[in-house]
Parts: sequence; C-alpha cells; structure tokens
Amino acid sequence: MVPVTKALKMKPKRSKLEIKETLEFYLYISPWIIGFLVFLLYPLASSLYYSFTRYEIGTTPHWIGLRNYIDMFSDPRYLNSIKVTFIYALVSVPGLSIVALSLALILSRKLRGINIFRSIYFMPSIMPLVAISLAFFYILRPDSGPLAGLLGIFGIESPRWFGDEQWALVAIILINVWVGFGGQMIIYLAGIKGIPAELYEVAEIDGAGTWAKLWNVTLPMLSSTIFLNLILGIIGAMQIFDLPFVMTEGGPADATRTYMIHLYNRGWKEIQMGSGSAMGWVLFLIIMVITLLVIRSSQAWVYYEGERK
Amino acid sequence: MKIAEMWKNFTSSKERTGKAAKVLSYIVLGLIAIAMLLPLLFLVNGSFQPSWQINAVPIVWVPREWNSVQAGETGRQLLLWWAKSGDVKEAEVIQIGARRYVPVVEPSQVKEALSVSKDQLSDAVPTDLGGIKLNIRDWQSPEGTRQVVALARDAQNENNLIVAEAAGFQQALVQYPLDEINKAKQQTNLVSGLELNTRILEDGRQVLVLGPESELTVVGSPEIAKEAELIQASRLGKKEYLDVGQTQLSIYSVEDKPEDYRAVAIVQENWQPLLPQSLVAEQGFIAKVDQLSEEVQPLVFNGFNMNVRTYTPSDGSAPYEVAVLIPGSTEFLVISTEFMDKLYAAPISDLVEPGSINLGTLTYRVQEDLERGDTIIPSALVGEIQDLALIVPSTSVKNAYDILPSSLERSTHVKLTITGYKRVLSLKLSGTPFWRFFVNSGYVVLMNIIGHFVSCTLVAYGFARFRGRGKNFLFVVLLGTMMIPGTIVILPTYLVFVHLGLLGTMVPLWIRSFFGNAFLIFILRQFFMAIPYELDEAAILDGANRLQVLLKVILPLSKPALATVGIFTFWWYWNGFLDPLIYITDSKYYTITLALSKFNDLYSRSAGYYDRILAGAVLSLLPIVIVFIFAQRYFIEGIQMQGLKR
Repeated sequence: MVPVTKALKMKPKRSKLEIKETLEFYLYISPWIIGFLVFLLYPLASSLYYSFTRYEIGTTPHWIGLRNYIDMFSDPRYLNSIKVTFIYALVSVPGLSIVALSLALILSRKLRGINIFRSIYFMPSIMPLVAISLAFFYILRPDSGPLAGLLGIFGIESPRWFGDEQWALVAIILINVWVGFGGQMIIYLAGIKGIPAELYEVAEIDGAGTWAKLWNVTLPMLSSTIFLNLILGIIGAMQIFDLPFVMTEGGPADATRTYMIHLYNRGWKEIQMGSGSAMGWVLFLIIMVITLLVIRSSQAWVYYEGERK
Repeated sequence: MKIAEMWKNFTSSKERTGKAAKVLSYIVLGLIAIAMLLPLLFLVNGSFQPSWQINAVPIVWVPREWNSVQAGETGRQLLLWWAKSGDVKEAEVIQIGARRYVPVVEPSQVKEALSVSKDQLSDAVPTDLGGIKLNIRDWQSPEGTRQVVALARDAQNENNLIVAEAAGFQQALVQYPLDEINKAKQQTNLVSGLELNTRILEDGRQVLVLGPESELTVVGSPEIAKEAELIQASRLGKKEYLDVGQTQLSIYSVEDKPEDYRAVAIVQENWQPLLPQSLVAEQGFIAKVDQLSEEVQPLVFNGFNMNVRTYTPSDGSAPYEVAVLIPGSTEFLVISTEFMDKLYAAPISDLVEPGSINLGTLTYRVQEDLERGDTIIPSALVGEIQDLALIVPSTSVKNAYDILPSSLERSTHVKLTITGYKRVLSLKLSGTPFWRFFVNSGYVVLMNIIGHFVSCTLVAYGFARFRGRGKNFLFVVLLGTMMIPGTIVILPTYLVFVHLGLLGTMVPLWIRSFFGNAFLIFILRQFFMAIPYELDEAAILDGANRLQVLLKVILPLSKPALATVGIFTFWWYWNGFLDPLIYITDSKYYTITLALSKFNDLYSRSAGYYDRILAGAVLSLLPIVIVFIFAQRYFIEGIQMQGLKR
C-alpha cells in the first residue's frame, strides 16, 4: 500500500513540475514567439488584407477587392519584371550549382593548398554587394574599364554591358555567379566529405573508374545537398535586388528591372502599399509553387539514406 | 613474366594519368582563383589611381602620378608632358599655347564644282596633300572613281554635297588659324553656278573653308614655369603673334609693365579667392548696410582684388576698413582688412565638393577638400571670381617649338595616389561626414550582435533544455520560418514600423534581432544539445538556477557557436542594403552601404569622382575582409550548417 500512496502523492507533484517547466520553456522562447507574432504573422496577415485595398501611407486603406491583382497582371512593366526575374533565375541558379559542384569535386581531391583556394573562392560572398556593384561598374566600363583593356589586349571589343539591353542582365548573372558560388561550393564540399569511404571502396572492387564513381556514388549521395542548394538558390534568385538596383536601377529600358525592383518602386517610390502587398503575395506564391515543383520532382532524383522505397 | 611487365606498364601509365589530372586540377583551380581575385585587384588598384588615370584611354594599369612643376610662386601646378618623335621620348615639356587650323582655298582655284548625291560618295578620309590634311572622298562618277573634296551642303538639294576634284587645288591650299576664320565675314559666292559660302579675310581675300581642323601645340622647357606670375587678365593688352615653327603663339603687352615687355599667357582661367574656413567663422561678421561706407574701394591683397569699405561699429568705437566677403542687399559678410594677408585663391576647376554655411540672412560657400600638396585646406569662398592669367615673359620662351598633340604623352611616375581615400574621408554627403557612415554601420552591427546574443541564446536554451507542451510543433514552425522568403514581409514590416512611429530612426535596423533569428537559434540549439546534461544537473545540485546554468555552464562552453552567431550577424548587417534604403531617410543615419549607393547615384556620371567611389568601396570592404581573414572557419562552419539543416 505504501508504495501506491507514494506514487499517488508524487503524480500531482510531477505534473506541477511539468507545468513549471512548460512555463519556463515558454518564458525562455518568448522573445522568438513575440518576434514571430509581431514581425512575421501580423505583417503577413495585414499585408494579405492590404493587398485587397487601395492604400497610400497616411490615408486609410480602402477595400477594392481583386483590383490590385487585376491591374498588376495587365501592367506590361510588371509582366516584364516577372520575365526578367525568371530568365535571371533560370540561368543563374543552375549556373551557380554547376560551377560550385564542379569546383567542389576538384577541391575534394586530396591536393595541397586546398584551403587557400577555398578561401579565395569564398571571399566575394562575404563582401557588401553594394561595394561589389561599384567595383564592377568601374571594371565593366566599355571604354576605359579594366576588363575592356584586358579584352583589348586579345583584340576583342568589350560589350557595352549596362548600356546594352542584351548584355545588362548577362553582366548581372555573371557577377552573381562570381559572388555566390563560393558559399554553395562549401556546402557541396561538406556533403562530399560526408560520403562514407566504404562506398568508393565497394565501387572500386566492382571495377568502377573515376567517372563511374562520380556518376554512381558521388552524385547520388550528393543529390539531397544539390536539392537543398537548388531550393535556396531559387528562393534567393527570385528576390534579387541589391545588385541590379545599385548598378542599373532596373535599366536600360527595364532589361534588369527584377521583381523586387518593381515592387520597391511600386511600394516606396509610388507609395502604393496595397498594390505592393499584392505583389509581395504573388511573389510568395510563385516561390512556393516553384519550390513545391522542385520538391515533387526531387522524389525522382534525390536519394535519402535510410529511405524506404 | 610478360603479364607482370604489362601490369607494371599499366600501373605506371595510371600514375601518369593521375599526375596529369593533378596538374590539370591545379591549372583549373589557379585560373579560377585569378578570375576571383582580378576584380578585387582592379578595385584596389583603381582606388590608388588619380581620376585622370581611371578615365584614361588606353588604360594605364599601374597607379601613376602625373609629374608637374610649380608655376613660379603662384601655387598653380603645370603638368609635364613628354614630347615624342615616333616612339622616342625626346624631352620633358610644358604646354604653353595651342592654335587650331583649317585648310582653306580661294574659290578661283576651284575649276569645277559639282552637286553630287551623298550615296555616290564614300566617307571622308583625312589624307595628306602636300603637307596639309584634307578630307578626301571617293566619288563613283559615271567616268569612274574620282577623288573629291566636299565644299558644302547643297542648299537646293538636301541629299547632295557640293564637291570639287581634289587634284585641282593642291597648290593653292593654305592652313589658316581657325580663330581668324571665325572672326571673318561670310559671303555667298557663285562657283560653277552653285552657291557656296565663303569667308572674307582681313586682307580682303575670299576663301572656302575645308576640313578637317588640326591643332598644333607649342611646348617649351619646364624651366619656363619658374618665371610664371599671376596677373588679372584685364591687364593683358593687345594681342600679337610670335611665329613658332608652323604655328603662332599669342603674346600680349601688359599694363604697368615696360613698353617693350611681351607676355605669353600659359593659362587663362577663373580663380576663386579663399580664406581659411576657421578664420571666416571666427573673425567674419555681419554688417548692416548703414554701418558701411557707400564708397567701395577695390584693393589688391596677395594679388587678388577685394572690395573694401569702411565699417562703423554701432558701439561708437573708431571706424575701420573691412573687406566684403559676401555682399547682400541689406547685410554684408565682412572681415577686418588686417586678416587679409591670409587671402589665397585657387582655380575654380580645383574646387569640388562644395558645402555652405548659413549665417543670418547670408549663406557662404565652403570648400572641404581644396588640396595643396599633401594637405587639405578647409576654405571659405569669398569675394568675386576673378579672371586671371598665368604669364611668362616672351623672352623666356625662346626655345619653344610646335608639335602635334598626338606626339605628346603624359609624363608620369609610378605612385600609389591616396587622394581618393583622403577625399572620400573628408567628403560630406548632405552635410554628414563620410566617417559617420562607418560609425553608423558599426552601431547597427553592434546592436544586432547584442540582440542576437541575448535572444538567440535564451530561445535556443529553451528549445535545448526544457520540456514543454507544444515544443516540437514550435520547433518545426521555427525551422519553417527559415523557408519563408524574407522579401515578402518587407513591405508589411515597414508598415508596422510606420505605425510604431519609428520611421527615419535607426531602431528598425536592429530591434528585430532582439526577437531572435531562426537560423542562429538552430545553430545554438544544436550546439547546446551536444553539451552533456549532467553538467546542468551538477550545477543545479550546487544550487544554481536554470538561468545561472545557462550563463555559467552552457555559454562558456559554447564560444565557437557564439562566435558563429556574432560573425554571421556582422556579415548580414554590415552588408545590409535594402533595410537602410527603406528605413533611413536622414543622411546622418546612413549606413556605409546606403551612403555608397547614394554617393554613386550622385556622382557616377562625373568621371572626376571615380577615385572617391572606388576608395569608398575599398574602405567598406576592409572591416568584413579583416574579420574574414581571422575568423574564416566560423564563416565556413556556419555555411556548412546551412547545408546540413535540410
């Protein structure tokens, strides 16, 4: 009998402790919860509401239903900004991944001085994009810029880059690859290091050469990392702003006017908060749809260890 | 035996391909490393170049300084050039004059003028005809190709040019000074029944003006500069010409100089009288119009004209003479003439980056970065702009000679110029000094680091060490927020800060860090989880409460994770651009990235500012690059965490 009463006596005590611990838990995480509510949930909810209103700062929002969305999709500049952003993402995301992955594969060979190369490749990613934009503005000047001088040595005439509708976006994509591949490469390097050596040994016993090992071991084992980089890359690329904003402000002739630059102009230059909110939500939906599509397709090509098929 | 040998060959060839692959890898890695470093090298290299060099075509790769000589004691520098003959640098010279010429011909020499459609004419090619360059075109005439010179547009037919055969007037061609042509009267003349514009020269001759213009520069030894003096341009008398080789140099008589004295004006330009900014601030004062004598006396101080009036103080003390610095309608900014020995001047082309100071109803302009030698003199612009001429006696230019501008090359020496850095640091953007932007960025970074340290450790500790209902769900939510594209909340968050009345302050740039960051919380939580719970228990047994456990046990063991948090915060907020762009309106709160971008908007079109833009960019990179060099592994580990979280 005694142990039972003891147990009965202890139970409420433990739950009291549990309540206390739960309270303490919520106390500790309260900064994040407050931040989540004030700086994420409320803004999201309110902007969904604003997106159905006509709202200029200083006035009260005025409900106009789907008007913002309808106007948006009949605005050729807006549609153009979607086109520019898609072209940018379609070229730069795979481009970045290919460059980063190939270099990670070379760097993962056991060579001397790898760390130096890794640092050099990674360094541009830590620098302020504004400063990098100014640097390239100078480097890419068609007449007196260093790149034009360098090309001149080989007898090649420099394109007019930011003065030319066809080249402006190309320049921005190239600069972005230059800036960004180092970070992705480091993620791939970590992924390659995580591949168990036994897999290669087994493959070698089976008579696999370098290419066969790459194709049958490395890439499948890296597929989840590639997948993650693709998703992060798409999310980042759809929101590109700093680089084209500082270098061209979307010009020439809107050739580099990305989605975010268009949204910025709508929201802050023309102070149309309702319309800006609507654009924010459409961008959110576009990103979600693309991400879901990638996740969907990933089931076909991403290999997870311990996954049962 | 055979098999063993084949095996040996096989392995050695395998080794060889291995070696080749290694070399190839290094070549690829090296080339890409060069591609990564080259833009940075260009940036740093460019930041040490003076602006003329940054804009030079063809490109001058190594930072150089343009050699110059002092023009007497005037403070004006004269640039030095190499006079070349072919590719050989013959002598170092200064430019002392130039005259432009055009070829002319008398209409009587034109045997036959024809109106020809432009379609039948090739583009003009400057061709040497008896020492004179002439724009010659090929005309596909019915009788075959003929070389012609265009004389004018045909007034009757827009698509036609009036041309004449080039061979016809080879002998009669003369180079004539362009300035004389421009002064000459125009007259229409009939040649072969076609109307042509001619000019009537001073000597009564009538000529047709052809192209192209050419220029001959007169250069002389740098020694000439020693005798240079600065005079009011109004003192230059009648213009005469001195023959120098194929060209002529203008010489002038000078007022107040001996009758036979002739001067060569090397430069004639506008100068701005200046006083030290501090002197004007301390000693300058505002005088009412009725306190000043009506009579204005132009006096010369250190070679520069200033208007002087008599000032009668209102307290009844003795009147004295004051120089008018800034005239007004009812009020004047004046200074006692006793300070006028401090007066100096600079060519207005040297005056860039102006600011202004308000003083009562008057505003005076100040100059932050007038450079003299290695020092920057903050100056106030006073008095009126004056047209001054830098002259040397014509007797000193005896050995001057004429040369084609294309045979002149800048005389320079290799030197890292730090002018760009000096100028950017003394620069003001809407009244805010440039260094302030670094302080602002530092402040934003510091507040965010404090915020993240406080909030992220508490939240991560909560997730790592406490049990509570809903914890797992909340953790999934936390990870989920990392996937939400940040830009979607930018506009609504902006509205939140508008409603909170925090727009235009720096608070929106850091306050959110006090509420945690999903990625950093995740990193810290992973790290805390790896610390054995027994350490917590031992501390609790010793009587510590849970907060003390965090502070005394967990945090001291988590230095690497905290370093990652600090470094990532530094990285994000030092480089942040969109937030400052949206929230900061007042230039005194600009962060360095925002300031650079504004600076670029203002000046990227004026070539003279490139040195400052590049220097500013390099300075903004320095802090983060230094952090990177010393704390590389935290960057790399943090990035890897980003890859592992999936």
